[in-house]
Amino acid sequence: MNYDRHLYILRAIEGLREAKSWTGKTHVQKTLFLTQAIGFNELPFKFVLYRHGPYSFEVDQELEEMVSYGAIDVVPQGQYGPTLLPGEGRGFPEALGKAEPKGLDSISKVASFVGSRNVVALESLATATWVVREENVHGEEAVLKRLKELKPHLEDEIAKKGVQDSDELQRVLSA
Amino acid sequence: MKGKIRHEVRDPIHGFIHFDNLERDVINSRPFQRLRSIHQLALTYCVYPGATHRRFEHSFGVMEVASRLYDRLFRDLRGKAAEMLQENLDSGGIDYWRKVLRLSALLHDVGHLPFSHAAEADLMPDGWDHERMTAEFIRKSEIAQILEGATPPIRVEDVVDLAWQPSKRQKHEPEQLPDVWRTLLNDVITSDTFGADRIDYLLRDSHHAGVAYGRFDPDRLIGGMLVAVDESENPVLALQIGAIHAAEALLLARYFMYTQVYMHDVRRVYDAHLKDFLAAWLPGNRFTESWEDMLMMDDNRVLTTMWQAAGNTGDPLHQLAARIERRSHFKTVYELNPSHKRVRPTIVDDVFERLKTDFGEDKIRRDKYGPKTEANRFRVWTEEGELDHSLSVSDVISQLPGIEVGLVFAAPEVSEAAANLVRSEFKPVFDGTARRDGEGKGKS
Repeated sequence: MNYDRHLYILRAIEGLREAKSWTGKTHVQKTLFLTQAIGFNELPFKFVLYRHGPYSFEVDQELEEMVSYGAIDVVPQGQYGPTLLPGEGRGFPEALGKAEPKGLDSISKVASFVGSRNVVALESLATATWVVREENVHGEEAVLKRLKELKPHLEDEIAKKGVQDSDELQRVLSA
Repeated sequence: MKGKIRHEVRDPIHGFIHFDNLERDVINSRPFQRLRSIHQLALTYCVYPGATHRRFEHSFGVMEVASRLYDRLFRDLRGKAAEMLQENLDSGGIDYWRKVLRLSALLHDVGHLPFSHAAEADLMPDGWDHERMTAEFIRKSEIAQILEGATPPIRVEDVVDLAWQPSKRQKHEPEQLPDVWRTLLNDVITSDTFGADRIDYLLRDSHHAGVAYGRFDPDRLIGGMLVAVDESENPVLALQIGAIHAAEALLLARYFMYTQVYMHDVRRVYDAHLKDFLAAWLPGNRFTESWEDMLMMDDNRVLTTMWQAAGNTGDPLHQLAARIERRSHFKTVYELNPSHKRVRPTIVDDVFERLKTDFGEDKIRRDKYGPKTEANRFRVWTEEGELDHSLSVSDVISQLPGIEVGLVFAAPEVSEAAANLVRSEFKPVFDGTARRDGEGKGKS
């Protein structure tokens, strides 16, 4: 069990809640991916390009574990799926973790940036960032072209906004 | 005399299952025939004597259910999803992909080790699992020639795409994740919620184990499935709200089958003993990554070796074999209760480590699985024509516990003492009187 990983996930959830986000699993996944890709590249999660953009099966597995000991509560509400909230056992990761994790501030900044976005916007933003960071494609037109190859179902406007948001997030985290 | 072009077998779950000449050639191949000698539920028959069924008949069942799902989902697909998938649904496409789907369903388990899942996590070479071995068989064995020699030819990689669950494949071939269409068809076979694999194994395993837990209404379930477009503009499998009770029944069946059969503590300790035996017997203590070697490995070969070793006290494998053959298995001295974990998340490891210190490493074993709840989440098509979420529309599903197992076993000669030690040492956790560290912030 890696309780340090759980601290990162909790910080993402807390940051998203502060940003008045729906805080579904997609928000948590994309917050951690964007942090790792742009803000703090030493987060201990492996991401792959999956159905709805960058995704970590490790994050998914850790979320299940955290729910099982009460660090996270899953609250069903509405058609977009359940919200994740810090639970009664939220103190365990800090109590049981071994290290003082770095990068928590970056997670908070990313959570604040993505919190209000819906899942389509998150898929577009995260996949555009994947194209830049993992495939080393640069320039708005080139990134947009590749994004549309990977995600042909994204409307042009949403895809373009995703590319612009990726640039904007880079500026926010560099400031 | 003209040969038959349509063949059938009688199946205890689905009645007659039909197949064509190409499918018969695949069935007659050595990799597929090997499945006659791979027990579906490993040594579960030591606990449930009827559970001696094999991967062979399960594979037929998955082909049958996948075909029914395909016809339900895609034969008369209309609306936005149909527009998005149009290039695959024309007259040539829909028949070709039905053939591919049936072959993938038939072959999806062909790479299983002896005794199915029992030793997979520990005794396959690093980076290997049965799904990857399945892809090896499809690509490299006589199966590839059968597929490519068909009229019209079946593309081998199409069969691999549909047989290999993307969540497993991404570990080995992250650049080969299938497109939207292939992902949907893969879901028809492997989806954790309503895939043909799951539908068949729950029905079949409960039938053979002789338990009623696994029963549900597959006809209502399949009849209620559809392809919808989600908020990300992705086509996804969904369920009409009218079939939600059939889905609840399936998920309850899954929960009970896991807790009562698949994760039965004695069954799990037999898995542990089987792994010990195999590790001691196999050259290099592991299976190899060669599909040719795997072709020669089945349960019959293992059981023959085990039987001989159990009957010969001079055999170096005697003790390990006798644990299984003579039923002198380890005993359960601790079983995880969800309430324990909420007081002490590390409880299983703590019990295991404590007992190892007192009784020695060779006398104590640990087994963990899960937690897993993901299968309970799926999309639901409401009467208002909107996509909702299973956890929002069904209290039964939202309240269904995750599946998690934590077991600690002790050798028979120390089991009583070990159980007593667990009871006394961890009493505050079991009574709920232990300090709940998670309620305090910060390290002490």
